[in-house]
Amino acid sequence: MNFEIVLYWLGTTLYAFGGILAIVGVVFKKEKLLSLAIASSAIGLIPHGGAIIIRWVRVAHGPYINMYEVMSSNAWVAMFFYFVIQKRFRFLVNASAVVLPVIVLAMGFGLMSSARDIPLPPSLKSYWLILHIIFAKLCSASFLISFGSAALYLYKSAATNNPSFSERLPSLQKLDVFVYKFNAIGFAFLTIMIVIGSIWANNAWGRYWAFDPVETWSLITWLAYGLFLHLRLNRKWTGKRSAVITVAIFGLSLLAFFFIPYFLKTVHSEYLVR
Amino acid sequence: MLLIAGFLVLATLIPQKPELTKAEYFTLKQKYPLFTKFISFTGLDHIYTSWWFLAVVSVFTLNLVLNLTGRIKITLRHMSSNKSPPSPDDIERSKYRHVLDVTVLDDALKERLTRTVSGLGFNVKQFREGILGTKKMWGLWGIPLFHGSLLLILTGIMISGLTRFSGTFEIAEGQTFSGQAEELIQTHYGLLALKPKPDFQLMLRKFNVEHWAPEHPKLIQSTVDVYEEGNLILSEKVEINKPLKYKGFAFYQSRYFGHAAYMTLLDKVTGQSNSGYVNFPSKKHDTGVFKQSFVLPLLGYRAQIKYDPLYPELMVIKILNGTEVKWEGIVKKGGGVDLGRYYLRFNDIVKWTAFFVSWDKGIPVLYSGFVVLSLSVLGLVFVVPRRLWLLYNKDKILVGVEVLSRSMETFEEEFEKIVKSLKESIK
Repeated sequence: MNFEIVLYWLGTTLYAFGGILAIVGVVFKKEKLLSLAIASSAIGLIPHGGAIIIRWVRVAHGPYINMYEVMSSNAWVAMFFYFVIQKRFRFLVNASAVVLPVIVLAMGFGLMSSARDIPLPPSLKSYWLILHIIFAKLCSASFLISFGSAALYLYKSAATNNPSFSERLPSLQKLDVFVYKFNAIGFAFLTIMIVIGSIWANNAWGRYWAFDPVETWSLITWLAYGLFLHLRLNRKWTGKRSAVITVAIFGLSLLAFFFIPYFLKTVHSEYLVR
Repeated sequence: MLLIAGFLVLATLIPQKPELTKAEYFTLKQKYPLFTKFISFTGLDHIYTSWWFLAVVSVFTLNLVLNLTGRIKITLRHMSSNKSPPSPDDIERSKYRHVLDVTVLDDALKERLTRTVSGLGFNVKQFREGILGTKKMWGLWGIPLFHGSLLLILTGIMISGLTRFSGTFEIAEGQTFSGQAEELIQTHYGLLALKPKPDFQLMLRKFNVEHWAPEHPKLIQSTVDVYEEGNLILSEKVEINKPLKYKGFAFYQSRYFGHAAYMTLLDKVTGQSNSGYVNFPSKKHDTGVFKQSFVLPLLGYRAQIKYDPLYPELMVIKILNGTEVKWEGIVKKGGGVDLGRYYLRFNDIVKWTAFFVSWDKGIPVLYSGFVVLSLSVLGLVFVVPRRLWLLYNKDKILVGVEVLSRSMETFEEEFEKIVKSLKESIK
């Protein structure tokens, strides 16, 4: 087993440990456990980051060619993004019970994917691609936090049999605002990701839109988040309705970016799922 | 939006005619005759060009236009109200309100309040009735610009769809492309395509491929020269992600490449010759034997050629007249085959590659839309325009703050900070 995989496993273990602590901490109202969960996961960023850097240096390109690299770097960015955001908004520490398990799942998904080294093909040698990927990761991280907030909202609004747990959670109003804000931020990043992807495609192949399945499903996801924002702002769909839609469109975004490449022939799956 | 999203989902699940080869479509028809008939009848096999999809997109566009005009009116109304003095109505409709008690409301206090509001980052206007502070008001243009940018993008797509021309051509080292229709394959012309003709020639001077490993190319690069009326205008290296743009045409490096045999057929009687390139099919590996066959002009004979990169100076040539073998053997570079009146010369083995060429006047409009879209969406989320009123009312100052972005629903923390600063300034 090479050093990169050892570090990857170490990071995953620390996230998983953090996830367990977060769930126990929220259920049993143990503030200390929540802090430990965040600390454990934050420490996990170091070996996980190390694994990414080792690979980056070895294959001479960023972590964005195959599914292993994509899931690994997405998990790292989401974890880092969440760590920074919860420092600013302390009540979001409770969302760790949802966010950390999702990050562990992403790491597991990465482990199950092929991790073989793929050298950078000429079509992917572009600054546009790097920007495209940065915004893809930022939008995934934003949607993950809005999903976490929505899941907690739904749990809290339904959890009459376990009041001690729901007491630990932020107020419904705060969760509702976070669902909305991170959907809006994610929508902005998603918009820019699609725009940059289109410019890159035009620069590389002379077509800015080819109705490639992942392109099309990104547009479907964009329309879905756009619809959410319109319903929220114009029809005042807040609270439970907003949370339910968020969970549904988060599922749609996962389908678009991580599952469609497996089922449909797309330029995005050329290296991603091999 | 829902309808468009639904149709997009269908288009990825149902095989679309433009994406299928004739053979694939035929197989589908054989396998599922009823299904193929149904999707063909309803237009589900070419959703993006079906009248009903275009109708939905048109309704969406019309909606955008109406929305945009409404949004511009609202924004202009907001902007013009920035010139009015504070009124009780302004305070009444503010989401965040507070009352400050003062003992003496003199000019010195008003001046201090003005400085405080200004210190909080607001642009301040003083009136006899009170103070009006505005902050990041340009953010109000976020929503109109966002919707406007979508219209710009749709306009760009429409121009592109109607006037775009594109095609692919193969070219060998030393060969020239001059834009003639017969040089192009897989051409596409928009409904109103102007069929532009380049008034220049493009010559492939050198083609270079480098590999990380046999199946993984590292670099695919063409060095091309552009000539106008026989004069060299420019030389450029074209790669994937580095197209050549010249006089409205864009040339994109394809990932396909291979070997080409440069041959000449000479008429010994008239002295006339006919030279050309015969491209061997593209292969992932640059190893093994490459084969190709072609018809010799004038003679009508069929020639079969074989080439192995391990022996770069040699080529196996077989000449057939129907099934009768007229000649077969190995020919060295510079040598040839004697066919009586005609002589077939094997000049050289060079490399060929392919280029995708396009002429698209919709791109500048589309990209302008992209820029406005990206800036406006960031503005919508991160720029929060706000307005603050301080209304003098005898021994009280009524404070009202209005957040003019619907994307920002919580403002408590900043409002508390504003009130705290104001309280300090009236002490």
